[in-house]
Amino acid sequence: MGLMVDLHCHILPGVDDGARDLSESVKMAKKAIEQGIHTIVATPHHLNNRYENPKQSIIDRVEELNRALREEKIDLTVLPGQETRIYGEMVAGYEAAEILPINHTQYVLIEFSSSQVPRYTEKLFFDLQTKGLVPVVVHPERNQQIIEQPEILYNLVEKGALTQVTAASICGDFGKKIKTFSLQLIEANLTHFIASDAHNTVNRTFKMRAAFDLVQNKYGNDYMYLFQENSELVIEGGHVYKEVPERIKKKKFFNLF
Amino acid sequence: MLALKKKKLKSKDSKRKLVTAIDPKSPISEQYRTIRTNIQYSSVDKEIKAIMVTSSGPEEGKSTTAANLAVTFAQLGQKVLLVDADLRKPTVHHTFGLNNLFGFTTVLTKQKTLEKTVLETEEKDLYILTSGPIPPNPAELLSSKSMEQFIEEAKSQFEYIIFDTPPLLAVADPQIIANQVDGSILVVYSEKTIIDQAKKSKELLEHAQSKLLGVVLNHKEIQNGDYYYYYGAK
Repeated sequence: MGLMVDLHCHILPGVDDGARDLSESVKMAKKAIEQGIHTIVATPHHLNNRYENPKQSIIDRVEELNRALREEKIDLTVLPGQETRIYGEMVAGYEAAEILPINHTQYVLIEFSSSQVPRYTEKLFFDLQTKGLVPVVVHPERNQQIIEQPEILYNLVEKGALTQVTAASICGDFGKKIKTFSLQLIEANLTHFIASDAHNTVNRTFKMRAAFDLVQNKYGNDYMYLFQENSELVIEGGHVYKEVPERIKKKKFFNLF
Repeated sequence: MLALKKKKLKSKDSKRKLVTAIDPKSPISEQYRTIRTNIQYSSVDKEIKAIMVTSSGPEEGKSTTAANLAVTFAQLGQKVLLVDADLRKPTVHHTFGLNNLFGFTTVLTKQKTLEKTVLETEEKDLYILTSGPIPPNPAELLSSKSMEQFIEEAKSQFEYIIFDTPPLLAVADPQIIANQVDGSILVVYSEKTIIDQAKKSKELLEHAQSKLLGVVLNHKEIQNGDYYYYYGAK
């Protein structure tokens, strides 16, 4: 397994519910290196009802963290990014330089509430795409409405959205149901990235190696490399690999009998 | 029927209803913002400026929805007028703690101008027109020529006009208003609104040639809260 890029991580100190202070950020950085991660996109929550982290403040703090890591002789590069909670005025937010796409590319990480997908999402995603942005839905596997109606995600992906599943979800840390659904998303080409969404080194850690091991064992090298390369492509602003999305077939348990 | 309804204890602090004003960062306020965006995105060619909020029966959350939506629209920095067009059981003046001596009916009967009757609120950009004195013939007043003029004038002075109305299945007023606004919103109350009545309400709105912008499902219990509250390092 090669070195990895992690597109989604709450490693910036004291800005959200991720690393509390610099020493915790450093701990997370060391853990990331252990996992084989060489580049992390710091993606603080923005407008998720608790935290506000507009673009420039993230850029400044990422620079500070990189400086601190160099002093500690930790060979990890942190890039600026943001996990933006979906809201109706996102296009205006982008134009007002509040929204920060991953490493200043066209890829924007977008979070839904865990219970639903707003009806306006499709229209908003269209508007974002007309501005040249590519919406990346984070952890769709943890959204109640998507779990119940995967068709919603299929529709968004078909219309140009990308998605990112959480490494820990694939490993089963969020339960069997979410693990199964994550694998279904992979099988149906409904997800394009695996990232950690790490918040700390205790209960919300990286799990990247374990997730990629599982993907490699279950689906083979092709899938593993596809996901790893996609993350590398994103931070360079390249075109990611997108297989044709398929609908998730509902498992029919009763067929067993 | 109504007499059989259980008396409900109501909060004395009526301002508590306005979660969007008190706690704009709460998940409930986010839901109202989602409704706001859904309304803004609901029409491509026709601008939605005058919106009516109604429900099939009483006590399903019309006034709460209308008031919170008005606050939410005003938070965009656009001038909003909330009109208490529930001339049967007006409540907006209670919600905002305002005097109801003059209001909507005062303007419709041309006793005072709209400009002189609207009240300011603590919320910047949010203006209120309370019901005013209750006339003996609300439906007649609402279908008058001066109602048309009122909507026109309000549209020239405000970005959004939100009408709180009586229940659709009780009186004709909401149908009359529905015909004159740009779109209507139907509030249904989870596990209380009878499905057939909601359907009937939809038919009545269609009959009134009103664009039904959508349905707000009120008081729905959310089984799983935001995942942070479960998995976040607290």
